[in-house]
Amino acid sequence: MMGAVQQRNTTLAGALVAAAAVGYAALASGLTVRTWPAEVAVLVPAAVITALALARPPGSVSVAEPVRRAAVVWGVLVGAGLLWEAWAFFHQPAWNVASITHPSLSSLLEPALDVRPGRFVAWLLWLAAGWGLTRRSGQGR
Amino acid sequence: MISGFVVLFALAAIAVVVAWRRRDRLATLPTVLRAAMSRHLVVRVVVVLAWAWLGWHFLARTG
Repeated sequence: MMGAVQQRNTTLAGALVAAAAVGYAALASGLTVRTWPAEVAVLVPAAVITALALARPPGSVSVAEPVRRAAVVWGVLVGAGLLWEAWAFFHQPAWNVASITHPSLSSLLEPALDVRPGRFVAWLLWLAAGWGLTRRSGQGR
Repeated sequence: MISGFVVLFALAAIAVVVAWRRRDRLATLPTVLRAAMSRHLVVRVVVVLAWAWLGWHFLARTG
């Protein structure tokens, strides 16, 4: 009985957080980039989620073999991505001028982030990732 | 020269699909991050700061 009530409360809280994130993304994606409102819109959830993620006590989760294997795979992929991005960045004509022959990830994503639907999706993904960082190991996916 | 990003995203997509289909062989990325963040405070700080920087860079400064 208590388990069912707790489950229902958790589901309700999750739905509220999701609705708040969608509303926030809808508002924030309408702000003009490179202005202080857009910067504040990023800093507020960043501060909240950073505080939540850092506040919880460290655990002692046992690391299974699939987790070790995935850590190696993702470590190699992210490392290669960072190297490729750095290579593209240093081949730009100037730090703020994109290269046609060696585009960085930022310059590739810029057309999608120029339009509000693209920014809305990016906001949703970023907020969802941030919420995921506040979850403990073993909570949800 | 976007071929590098195309290859990396294709490999990442394969890793995501394999992890979802065969969790006994390969854990998902969120599982890896949560395990690392639970064990090491430094990893937690680095991951959260990287996430915050991505938001700053792509949502406040790009577009």
